[in-house]
Amino acid sequence: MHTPETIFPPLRTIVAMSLQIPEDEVKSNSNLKDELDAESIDLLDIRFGIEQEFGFKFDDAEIKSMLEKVTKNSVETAAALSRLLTVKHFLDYILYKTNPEYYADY
Amino acid sequence: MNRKVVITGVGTVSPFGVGKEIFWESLRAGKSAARPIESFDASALPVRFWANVPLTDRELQSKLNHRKAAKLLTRAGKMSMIAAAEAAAQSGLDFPNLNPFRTGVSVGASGGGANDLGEAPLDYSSFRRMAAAGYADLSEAEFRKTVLENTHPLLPLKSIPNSIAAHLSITYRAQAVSQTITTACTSSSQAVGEAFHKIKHGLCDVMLTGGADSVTNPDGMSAFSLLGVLSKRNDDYQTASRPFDRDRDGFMAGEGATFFVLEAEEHCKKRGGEILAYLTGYGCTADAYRITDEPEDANGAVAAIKQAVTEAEIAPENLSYINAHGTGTRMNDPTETYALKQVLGAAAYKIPVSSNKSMFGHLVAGAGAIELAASVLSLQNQVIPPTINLQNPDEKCDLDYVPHTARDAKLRHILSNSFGFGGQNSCLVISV
Repeated sequence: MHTPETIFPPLRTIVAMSLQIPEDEVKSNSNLKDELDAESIDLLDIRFGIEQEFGFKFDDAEIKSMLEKVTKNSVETAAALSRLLTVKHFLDYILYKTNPEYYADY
Repeated sequence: MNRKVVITGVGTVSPFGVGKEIFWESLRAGKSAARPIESFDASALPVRFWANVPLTDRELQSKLNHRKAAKLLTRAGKMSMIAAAEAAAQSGLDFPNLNPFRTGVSVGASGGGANDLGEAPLDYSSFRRMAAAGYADLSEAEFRKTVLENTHPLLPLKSIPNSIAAHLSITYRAQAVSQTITTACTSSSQAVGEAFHKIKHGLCDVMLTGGADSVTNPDGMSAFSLLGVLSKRNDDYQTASRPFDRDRDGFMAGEGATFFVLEAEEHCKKRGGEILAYLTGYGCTADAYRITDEPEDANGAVAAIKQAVTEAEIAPENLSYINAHGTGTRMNDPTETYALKQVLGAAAYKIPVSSNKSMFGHLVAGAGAIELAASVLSLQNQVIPPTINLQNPDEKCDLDYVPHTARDAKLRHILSNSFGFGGQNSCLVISV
């Protein structure tokens, strides 16, 4: 059963591999675009890596609504959405997809 | 405007390894780069040897300066970045501080970039994955969905033919032009020729140019096997590539990337750069005949050679040596020989001709560039590399092909020929 503690290490590896940076530079609160210098295609790469590792497919509408909830903002465009992304957003989404009960209490 | 154009940098990743030193040593020694296929199980295929670059993807990746780019680069792309870095370093040019709109990129590449990674949607691992999931009765709709969901989203960016040019343009801040020429076996020769004209006619001062290809993979070997153009001499693979020989039975597949820095002579002299050779002539024509057959009178090849020699402002008989296309197919070698005799007349019998492909095989889109690199090194070292494996000359191939061993010679002007499927002909002349 996945918890934030089991998700973070493989997620950090996926992000670090994709961006070719040391793993210890990937923090839970790192913003992917502004802090880790990810470009659009890196986000596609990371997303594919997560899908392969955790065995689910991303749903754009779900991600959008989750981000709106956690940031308390409405997200108008895909570009605006991707600019907000932190490593923790990915972690939360993985948790939600793989262990919805835990996510509800989290 | 008619400016002189010089070559100030050369870099190569060849079937002999990384760098021009091992490349030249091997050519001079008349070595064969042929080796058995080991990266996949080819035991049931008609051709079981090749001249691949003896480095794994991981080893190539470790030599890249910009490692994040690796995930967007095919093998041909990775080799290109390594070869271009060698050429750029040799030139001594400070690329970030050049005028970016006077600096360009011209690359010869093939169209099917993804297959060289074994990542194509229908590769063996996908097939196994589907079979393991019990998909024997999969509907087409489910099959297409499964392929889509298991294909890496960046694969399309690796497969675009201009991927190499785009990465070079970004890395070297070349904003004048970023062009890709994909004309099968003439691609990289034409890419260099077009880069030459950009400088000669005043549109650019510096061009990073060359080309690459990687057909040494299951799909590439299958494609060329189906066309019947590869040698099947599996039991004696080191002598399989035998251009101009009576018993030749096709070419050996090769792999690699080769890049040059071309520069306007005045630009080079102003900064005190070292001139390796002058690029003096380029001829480019099409046969407009058949896709793979060459016309018996070789009129397209003859015209391309004449154009190149005319632009170099020399009489054909003043060529010191000809680096032949020399594939070792039944058709190419006598037709190329005939074309040379048409242009050179009686002098054809006095000018040495040799085929590098006897040693490192056919690099397809990368062939023209690697053979031009061999020609530049020939000019610098005043040595003609041999045609190896030429044991029994074909009666229609009766020129001096420099058999078996390299030869010292006084070299002033070298012609390098490339001809390709589709009927393209591209010829380059370099001079001291």
